[in-house]
Amino acid sequence: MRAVARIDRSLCLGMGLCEAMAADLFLLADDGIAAAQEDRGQDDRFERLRAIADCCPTGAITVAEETDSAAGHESEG
Amino acid sequence: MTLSTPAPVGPPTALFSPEYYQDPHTTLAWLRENSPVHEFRFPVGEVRTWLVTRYDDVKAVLADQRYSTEAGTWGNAEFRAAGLVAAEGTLLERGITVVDPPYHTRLRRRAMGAFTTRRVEQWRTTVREQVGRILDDCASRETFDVMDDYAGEVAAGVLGEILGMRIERHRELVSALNAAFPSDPALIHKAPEGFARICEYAAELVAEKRGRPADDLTSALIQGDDGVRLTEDELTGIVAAVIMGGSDTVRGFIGNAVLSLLDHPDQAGLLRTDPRLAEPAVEELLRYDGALSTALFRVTTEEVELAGTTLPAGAPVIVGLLAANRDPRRFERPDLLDLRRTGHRHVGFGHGLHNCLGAALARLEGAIAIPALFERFPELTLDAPRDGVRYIDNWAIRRLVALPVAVSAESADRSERS
Ligand code: HEM
Ligand code: SF4
Repeated sequence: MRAVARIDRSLCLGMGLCEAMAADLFLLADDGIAAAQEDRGQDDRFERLRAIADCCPTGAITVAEETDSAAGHESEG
Repeated sequence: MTLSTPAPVGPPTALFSPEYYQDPHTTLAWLRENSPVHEFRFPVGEVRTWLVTRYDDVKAVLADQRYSTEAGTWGNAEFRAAGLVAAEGTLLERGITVVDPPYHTRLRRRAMGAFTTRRVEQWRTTVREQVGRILDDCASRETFDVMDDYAGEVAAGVLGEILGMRIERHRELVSALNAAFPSDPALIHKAPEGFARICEYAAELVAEKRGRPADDLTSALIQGDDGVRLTEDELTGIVAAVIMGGSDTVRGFIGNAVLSLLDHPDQAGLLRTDPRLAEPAVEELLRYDGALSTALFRVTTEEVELAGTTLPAGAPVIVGLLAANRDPRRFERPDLLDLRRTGHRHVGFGHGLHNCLGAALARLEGAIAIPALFERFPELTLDAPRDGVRYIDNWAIRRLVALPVAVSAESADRSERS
């Protein structure tokens, strides 16, 4: 099982809370929209992602636990 | 560092002087070009403080946890001795705006969780109803003050409704808010009393809704869906933060927006004829002249370097939201109001950890209340000399003292003769 965060690019307003809370999990890309960082097997990843998703002002982040390891860190287009 | 060699010329007006408040943009433009991380003495206590004015630097500070709002913990002795720690000795001392993670996360999660898209959508009807009722009141008067009779009523009315306050409390809330955020600097000593009353109303609301939950924001905040049990003080603090964060800001913003549109009749005309502009207009009006000149104080948790300036640990830092929003490095022709502007991302709602919790509600209120005023009164005119329209003396809140208007030129003439 791995925790996967997706960002809805139509909702994200680039408020940067996710990056400020955990730069190892999220990064604002050049277009100002957030992108989830690659899974590096960090501790408490799922819990931390969920906390950040709950704090995002636009509800742009969804977090899921997946068995599939392929779709890893990509954010939704 | 060049601290010992004073610059040969300084900004056009001294920071946070009475002249500055009436025209901050000229001074901020000078600073942005000549002293982007500007050291000055904060007027209260003459505390060494730095003001940041460039867009990229403002965002960098707000995104960086080494700049904390928890000044009670990180502020230097000078800062604390000057009494600059916000809400010291009150319940809001540990309020959402002035705490670091992980404690911030606990409060923010609960608070944000109540602002679901579905709930904000429900508020649309509430805002429309409040705006309609208040416009009827204004219409019966012909001349009125946008700040007190319109913007202030909308802000307090909407908050009272969505929080589920009893109607008798609405009036009292307006008066408590006026005490907490006075227009007259001579009344600032009454502000703590205003804050205390707001905390009382918040505590009362929490107790009431704990006993009898209803379909309102307060009940949703108490209920939560994060499985965490917050204390009554924490819940009261969140409700108080919503009241304080969501009233004078909305009032100030609507006032500034109406003045900007009265100053630019062509833009007001565009807004009147094209309802699709309502939402982008809110963004541009917030960029052009938002309701907060600056964010709350940040203090450095360690020595940091910012755009070539070294800030010692515990240093107070103020980020200029107004300044960043007019940075020509980010916005083309920044001093131009252009409701059709696209692709900008202003910092009027802040950035990073503490970015505005109520932005969706504020946007909704702006997008309804601002066009509605010009729709109802297509001939709305200023009912005072333009240079008599003044801003309050406040370094963080940018809001007009009063904005007298008439529903038509004839009404303005009549009010002049009487
Ligand atoms: C046009 C209106 C508004 C403007 C311009 C505005 C602006 C801001 C800004 C700039 C911040 C960040 C301050 C900082 O970083 O120091 C902020 C935070 C906040 N705002 Fe707003 N705001 C508005 C309306 C509202 C409304 C309607 C609410 C409540 C429903 C609200 C509640 C809050 C709260 C609770 C915070 C603190 C969030 C945190 O610390 O995590 N604001 N606002
Ligand atoms: S916190 Fe939400 S809105 Fe802000 S950048 Fe992250 S995903 Fe986007």
